[in-house]
Amino acid sequence: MSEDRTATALGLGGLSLTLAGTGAAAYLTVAHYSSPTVLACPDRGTINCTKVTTSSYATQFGVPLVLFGLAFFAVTLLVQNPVAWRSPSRVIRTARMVLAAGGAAAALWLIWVELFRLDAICLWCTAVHAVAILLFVVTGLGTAATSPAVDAEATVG
Amino acid sequence: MATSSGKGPGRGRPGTQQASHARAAKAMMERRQQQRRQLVLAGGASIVVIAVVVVLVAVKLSSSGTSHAKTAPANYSPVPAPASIVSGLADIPTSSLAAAAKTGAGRAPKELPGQPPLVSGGMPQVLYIGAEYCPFCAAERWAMVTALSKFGTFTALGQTTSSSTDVHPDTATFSFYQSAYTSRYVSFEAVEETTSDPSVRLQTPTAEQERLFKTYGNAGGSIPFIDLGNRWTIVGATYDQASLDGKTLQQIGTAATDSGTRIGQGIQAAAGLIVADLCKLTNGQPGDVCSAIAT
Repeated sequence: MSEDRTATALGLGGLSLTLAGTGAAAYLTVAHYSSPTVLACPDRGTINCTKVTTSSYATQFGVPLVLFGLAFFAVTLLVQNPVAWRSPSRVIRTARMVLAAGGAAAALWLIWVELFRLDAICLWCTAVHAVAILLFVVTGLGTAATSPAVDAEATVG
Repeated sequence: MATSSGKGPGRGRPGTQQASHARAAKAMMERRQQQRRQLVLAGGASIVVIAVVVVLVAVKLSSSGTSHAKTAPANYSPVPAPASIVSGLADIPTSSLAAAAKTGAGRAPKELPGQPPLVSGGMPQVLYIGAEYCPFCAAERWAMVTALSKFGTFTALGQTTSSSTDVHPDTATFSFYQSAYTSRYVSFEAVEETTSDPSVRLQTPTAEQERLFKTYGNAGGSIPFIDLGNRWTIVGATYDQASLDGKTLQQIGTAATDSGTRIGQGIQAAAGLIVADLCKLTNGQPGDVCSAIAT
C-alpha cells in the first residue's frame, strides 16, 4: 500500500516534470517555425536564445533539435505517469530509466555546447535541460525505491 | 537466496513454520539490501550528473571571468561610413518607400496605445538601443538611416559589422556610435552597448533609457529596441535579414536604393513603415515627405 503511494507520487512528479518539459519544447518548436526572435529571452549578451536556437547545433542529422526534444518528452509521457510507475513491468522500468539517462546525457552535451561552443545561453533550452536532469534524478531514485521484491512469494508469512 | 519452492507457507509443523519465517526475513533483508545498493547507485549517478553541470559552469565562469566587462579603448572610433552610401539612402524617393511598405516585405512597428509621449527639445524622440555585435541591429540600422534621413541629416556615421560568431555573421552595417543627427522634426538618441565583440562595452543606457527599454521592450529584453515617441516600438529586425548575408557595405548600399532587389525591397519597406509612423508624430512634417508616404 505504502509502495503504491510512493509509485503514485513518483508518477505524478514524473508527469509534472514531463509536462513542463513538453511545454518548453513546444514553445521552442513554435519559435523555430515562426521567428526565433519571438522567444521571450534576452539577446543582449551571454543570455541569447536566438544565437543558440539558430546555431548550427540546432539541427542534427537534418532535423531541428527541438523536434527531438518534443519527441523525447512525448515518449517519456508514456512511462512517466502514475499508472506506469505502479506497473511492475521490467520493460517499462527499463525503458523509463534508459529514456531518463538518454535525456540527461543529451542535456549535458547541450549545456557543454552552449557554454563552450556557442558562448551563449538559451533560457528556454536551459529549462528543458533542467527538466531532463531532474527526470533522471527522480527516475533513478524512484526506480531504486520501488524495486520489486526479489522473492515476493517468500515474504508471505 | 530464499525461494518459495518446497512446502507451502503458513501451515505445517512448528519447525517448518519457523524455517519459513526465517526464509521470509532473510528475503526481506536481502531485498532491503538490494534496494539500498540501488539507491546508493542512483544517488551516486545523480550526484555525478549534477556535479558535471556544476563543473562545466565553474570552468566557463573561471575562463571567461577576466574577459567580462571590458571597455573599448578611449580612442575607439568606428571607421567612417562612405558619404556616398549615406546620401544614397537619403535620396531614395519617399514614394518608393511608400510603395515598398505596401508590399508586406517589412514588419510594421508595434503600436503602444495610451502611453505618455516621448519628447526631447519639443520634438518627438526616437530612441535606439542596440549593439554593434547584434546582427538584427545591423539589419535594422539600414532601415533607420533611410527613414530618419527623411527628417534630418546624419553626420559621422560609422561602419561596422555584426559579430563574426553570431547568427548572420559579419553583417555589414552602420554604427551610431559617435554619430550625430540633426533635425527640425524629430530628436534621435542612440545607444550602442558594445562593439562587434559583445564583451567590449561601448555605451550604457541612462536610467531613463533603461526604464523605457524594460517597460516597452519585449519580455526577453531583445535588441535592437527602438522607441518611436512612445507610440510605436520595434524589437528585432523588421525585414528579411538574411538578404544581407555575405554582402559588403557597398553592395548593400547599392542594392538598398533599388527596390527591384531583395535587399532594396526589404530595407525600403521597413523604412517606409517607420516614416509613416514618424509622420504621425510630427503632424505631417515635413510636408513633402509625409504627403508622399501617405499616398
